[in-house]
Amino acid sequence: MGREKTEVLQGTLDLMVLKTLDTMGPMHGFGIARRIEQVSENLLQLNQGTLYPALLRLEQKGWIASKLGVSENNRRARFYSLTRTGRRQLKKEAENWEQMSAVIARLLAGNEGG
Amino acid sequence: MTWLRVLASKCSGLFRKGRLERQLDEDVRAHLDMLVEENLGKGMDPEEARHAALRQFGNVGRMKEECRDRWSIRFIDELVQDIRFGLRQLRRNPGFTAVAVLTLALGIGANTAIFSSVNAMLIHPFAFQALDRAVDVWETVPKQGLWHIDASPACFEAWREHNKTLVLMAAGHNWSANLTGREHAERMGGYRVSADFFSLLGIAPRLGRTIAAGDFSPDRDHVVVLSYALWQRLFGADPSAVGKSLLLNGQKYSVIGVMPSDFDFPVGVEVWAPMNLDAAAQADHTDHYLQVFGRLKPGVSMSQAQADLATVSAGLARQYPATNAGHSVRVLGLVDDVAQGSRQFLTVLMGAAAFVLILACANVANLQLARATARQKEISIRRALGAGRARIAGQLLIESLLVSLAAGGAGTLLAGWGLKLLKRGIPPFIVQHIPGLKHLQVDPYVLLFTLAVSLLTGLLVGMAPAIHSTGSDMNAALKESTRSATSSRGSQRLRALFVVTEVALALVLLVGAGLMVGGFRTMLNANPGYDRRGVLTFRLSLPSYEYRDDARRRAFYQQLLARLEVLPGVESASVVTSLPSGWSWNQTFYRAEGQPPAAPGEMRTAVEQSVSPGFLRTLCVPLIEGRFFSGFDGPSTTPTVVLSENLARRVWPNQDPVGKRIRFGTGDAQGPWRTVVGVIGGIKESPFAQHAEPTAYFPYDQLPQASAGVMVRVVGDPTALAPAARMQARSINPDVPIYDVRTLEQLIGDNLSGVKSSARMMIVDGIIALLLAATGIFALMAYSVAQRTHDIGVRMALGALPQDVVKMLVGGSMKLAALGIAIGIPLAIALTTALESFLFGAIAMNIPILAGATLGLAAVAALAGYIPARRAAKVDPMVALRYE
Repeated sequence: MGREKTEVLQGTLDLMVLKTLDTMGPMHGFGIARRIEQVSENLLQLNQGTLYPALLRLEQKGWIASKLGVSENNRRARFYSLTRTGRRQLKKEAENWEQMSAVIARLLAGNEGG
Repeated sequence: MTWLRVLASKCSGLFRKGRLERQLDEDVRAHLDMLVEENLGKGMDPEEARHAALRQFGNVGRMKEECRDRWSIRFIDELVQDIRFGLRQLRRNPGFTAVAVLTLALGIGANTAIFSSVNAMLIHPFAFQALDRAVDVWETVPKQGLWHIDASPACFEAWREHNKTLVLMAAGHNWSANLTGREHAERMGGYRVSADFFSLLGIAPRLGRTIAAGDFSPDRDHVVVLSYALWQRLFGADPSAVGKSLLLNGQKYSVIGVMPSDFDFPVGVEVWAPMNLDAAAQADHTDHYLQVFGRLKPGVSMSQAQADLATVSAGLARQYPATNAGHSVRVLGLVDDVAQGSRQFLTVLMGAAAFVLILACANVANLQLARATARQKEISIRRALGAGRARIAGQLLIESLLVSLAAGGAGTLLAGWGLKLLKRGIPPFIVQHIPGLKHLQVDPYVLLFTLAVSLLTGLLVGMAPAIHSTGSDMNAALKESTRSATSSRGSQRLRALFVVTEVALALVLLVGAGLMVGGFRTMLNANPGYDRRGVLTFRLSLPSYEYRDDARRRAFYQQLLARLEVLPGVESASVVTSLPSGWSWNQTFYRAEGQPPAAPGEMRTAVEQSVSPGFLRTLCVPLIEGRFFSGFDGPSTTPTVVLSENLARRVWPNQDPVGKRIRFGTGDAQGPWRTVVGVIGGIKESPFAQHAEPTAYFPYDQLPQASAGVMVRVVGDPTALAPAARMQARSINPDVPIYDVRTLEQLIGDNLSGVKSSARMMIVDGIIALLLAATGIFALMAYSVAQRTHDIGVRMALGALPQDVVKMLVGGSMKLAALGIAIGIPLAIALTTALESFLFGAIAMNIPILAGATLGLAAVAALAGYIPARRAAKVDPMVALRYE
């Protein structure tokens, strides 16, 4: 098991979902969860169920849209895709995140130095 | 605007619950299946794969709950749940629900009905633009207590030119328009208006145009605007009516427009034409016949306009002291002014309806409390299962709101039905002449009012049980057996208080109803100074183009009277300027010979009447001194006058007036000197008048009027004479319209129809109140008897006789009733004082009415207590003791 898994940070799940859909195109819930886990190289502790409230929230905000489709295993599933506003929002959130992480990184670096 | 989209999606979520739930289920199932498949691929056995999948997915229930929270608005969800639950509860207790809904429906219905009247007559009597900015302007002579004098044309012009507070000012005067050139002449309510009349009211015509400035020049054609009703009657609603012409008073008038159906101002007017005043008429300060209207400038208050116009009037008084000294001005809101007559009635009725509603609320709150006590267990269980106090209280409130809304619906139906009955009871003549009465109906404003009242009622009624049931200790309640539920002393006392309130209110309402009915009777039967039975009346107006000179008018009246008097059954007939209770009196100044002239603005006035010799006999007015007119008081003999007793006494106190001389007229009483030949008894102007009005009677041969009332005394039914009388008048000249054909009794009854309707409504209110108070007492006693069955059993086992038990229980209810009556009596007396002024002194504190209401109420209370008490006394002690 080696390294400890990290809990998903409050508010970051939305960003992850948006980014995933941005790079991967329309996906179903399972696919999104699987992708996030892969990218995190299993560093992330993700209760896959928590994805659904997040998807609902994003859909209500109009950032993603959903429609029924057929999965690679010939299974009926709901596919989510990024909308135009969602793409804009992703850009904004990503910038925010980068700024924030830069700040955190600098803070931490400062602490170590001092 | 993201939040807006979220809100929209949540709102739509409220209605798509089932679909969203299914969708989520599908998503979860698909996801889990995929996980299981993947796990199987990793070589797990099916059982293991499923467990692992569920572990990976996390808590399904919590996730779903989280989604549900997001779908819609939690508060509304709970509300929907509560409403469903409430409806189930109400359905489970159909008896309670029916009684509560019916009770509140009576209360709400009474309020809806009255508010419909208030809405029609006091709030929206006319469909004008910005009705609250429109004002009436009157001349006043404060020193003589005259507050509503029509303005003179010169005064109107001065106000219009010099005011700084009104956007527009317009004037108008009644115009008797005889329509001829058709089968028979018809008299129409006409109104001549100044240029800005229609633009001031802000009403556009339905067809054509209204009167414009150009219509006033003397060389223009005569033009006329029709009312919707007249357009329908004369032209069958033909749109091409505009441009056609009518023969009015012998002249051709072209129709230029038709007003919309809801335009009825001044009330009863059917044709509007431009005012045609020449320069001399416009400069006239002595003749007062213009009704003046204005529209306030934005931001200007009524009192500012009043002060502004008063300055103008003061200037006129300085400039023209002979005619304007002592004259001032009064600005009144248009609606306030026209609604004056109805306001008092409606205020009293509104108060009565509010009382009825409070009574109904007390009754239902009482029922609710009884039920809440019975539901104590259910509520305690819900609390134990985790329902918060607020949720329980909310649930109870929602239940009572459901009841009150249902009652609001039922009440609206009741009110609609009641209004229909009420309208049928109002004479058509009155409907035509009271602003807004035509539109008496349940309209959107009324519905809004009813909704508000229903919600308020629901809150009021639900408050007591909500507070009561959440305040109590749930552990105690869970442990309690059914019997000891009586332990809630507080609720018992609250319920007793409700009953006491009910009795007090019912007493006030009963006394109020009694007083109104009594007042109505008093006014109806008060001696007006003449015999109103067996008299047919009608009015006529002689077309001025045909009856320009006195001789012609005289001839017409002589002929008419001669023909009427020979009709079978006719005892006598008479012509008079103004019919008694006819609401149009000419006032005239007077000055007695040998007395110093009064200062300008302090001239005394009297009512003037031109009457034919038959007047005294037709009305059966007593001759007190001297003689009445005969056929010999003609145009060429000495001018004569007969005075009413009170006028004679006022002019010549303690002297014999017969033979003295007096003159009448405008300005400085400029008529000829007239010799007083007789004194007759006084006549009351209307059933509302407390005293007879000082009146001067002139022989109609000396002063024949262009329009007159005709009275015919008949043996038998006067209405049967109407066709013959009409025919006689037409046979003399078909161009003379005959209108307002009524018996004198009808005429007086029409005057009192407002009081009559009010009295009727009060009786209904009183009966409802009595019923509600009775059921209130009955319910309380029945409940407490049920609660005390055990106690009663013990008493009877120990030797109490059934009559002792009855006495004890009835005594209890009588104690409450007595307390209620004790509180109600001073309230009722206060009410009487208020009503006294309203019913024009026709009532005083009335001991028989007060005593009757008190005794009636006490008897009902005793009966309401006796029935459950009897039942209790019949109980077998053994059964009662076992009763747990």
